[in-house]
Amino acid sequence: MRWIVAISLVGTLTAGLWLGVPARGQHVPALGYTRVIEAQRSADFKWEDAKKGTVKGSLAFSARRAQAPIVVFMQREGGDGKFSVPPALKVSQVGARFNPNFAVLVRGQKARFLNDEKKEIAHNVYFLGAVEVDLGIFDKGEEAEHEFAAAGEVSVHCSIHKNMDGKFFIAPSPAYARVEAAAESFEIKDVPAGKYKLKTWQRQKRFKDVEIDVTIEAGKEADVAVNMTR
Amino acid sequence: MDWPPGRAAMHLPAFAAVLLLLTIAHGCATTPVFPDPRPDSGQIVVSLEGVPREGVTGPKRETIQADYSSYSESVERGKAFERVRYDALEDVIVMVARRDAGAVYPVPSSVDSRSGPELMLSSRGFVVDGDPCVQHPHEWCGLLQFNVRNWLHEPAELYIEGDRGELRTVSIAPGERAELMLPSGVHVITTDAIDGATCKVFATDQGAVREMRAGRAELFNLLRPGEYEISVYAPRLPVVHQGVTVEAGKRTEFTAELTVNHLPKAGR
Repeated sequence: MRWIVAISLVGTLTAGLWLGVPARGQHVPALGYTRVIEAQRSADFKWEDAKKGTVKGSLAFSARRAQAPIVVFMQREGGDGKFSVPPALKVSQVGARFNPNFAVLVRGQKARFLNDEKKEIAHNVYFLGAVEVDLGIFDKGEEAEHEFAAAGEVSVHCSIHKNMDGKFFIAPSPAYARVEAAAESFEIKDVPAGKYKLKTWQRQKRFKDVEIDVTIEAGKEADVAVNMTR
Repeated sequence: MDWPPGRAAMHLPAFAAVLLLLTIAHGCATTPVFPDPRPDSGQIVVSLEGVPREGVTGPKRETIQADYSSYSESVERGKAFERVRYDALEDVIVMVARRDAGAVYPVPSSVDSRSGPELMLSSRGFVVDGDPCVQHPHEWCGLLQFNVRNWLHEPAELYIEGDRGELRTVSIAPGERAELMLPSGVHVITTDAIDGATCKVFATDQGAVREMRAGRAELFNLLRPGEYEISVYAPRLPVVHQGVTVEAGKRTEFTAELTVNHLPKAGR
């Protein structure tokens, strides 16, 4: 057992002189806070050309689960390949709230932030986590867009308004399922045949995240039982 | 009382002198005063400066028409539009840790974890010595080993998620205390027992942790000379890291800017 105790001594009352120019520090991406998902693109592999299968799974929990979504996603051995992404996610900011304030996107997908306030109120959007970028300040009626090139967890904030926060999870490919709090099963369709790691990400972590080897065969269903334990 | 112009002008230098003395006195009162470093150890002084995002202007105002008059009011009304006060950012955690192995301070001769602060779980959520650990943005700087007491009338299961994704669970019976031992890093403690209860713990075995606010400076004193890493965690802001060298008999100063201005700007 070790206690680290800071002892502060009170000196005499003298004017404090700051000698030299203090260092200002450097911003370093907060990788320690987040889980960046390493995703590989294999240039030879195209989803549209591949024969596909389906993953059907069940979720079981060793204890009470959190009332928050879980994302089940697949990572292909050898790289996730080239795939088409869904249209841009539209995010409203009316009332100084991001709506939706939680979303699952696919790597390469865009999010479009619209300042749809009713009054002349400016907002700013910046991200921390797997992506760390500032989209700038935009006035009522203006919008900003960002393409998420990296997979992982991203927190969304406004630097002007202190309660304006959101969270995105960027899946490495379209092979994912968002499992809501009450659901105990999932299905991921149109997954190119191949060997995968099935993984989980929890909006509110209560269990250890899993990693399961899954093989997808063309035209067939792969059954997976996901057991979340502590 | 009307003074003749000449007499007023005579007293002007006196007024100016009094004003100058008051300004100096105020400056002395607010400037932090730290002791000189000892010859065999060093110091780090960390200052926090909150810097708003560049280009942000004040809220617009609109004219409200009342029955018999009109007045001007901000268009940003309500809690949702509360602005960040960068000059008064609170709950900023500053961690000073050695980059190499070895203790930062001399180890006290007798150590008893039971005499230290305790993290308590009550109907208010997580509470430390009267200060609540709320979901956001309040965090608690803690040590590697500390006690958690369950003041609820039911068993509580705590989930401790580390910054490397690892998860620990601890079960505590009602009224009982458990000893938690964590590795260095940032940990988030949650529980199902109280909805929304969260406590973030910053633990280090090679340094010191302080809770600070913008505009203040803190002294880390009696440090063994060597290479240190200063890490500054402010809610909703990028983490700031700085490596510094501590030399015997010297003070090293570092000012951390709490800002988003250094984030890469994306095109629109």
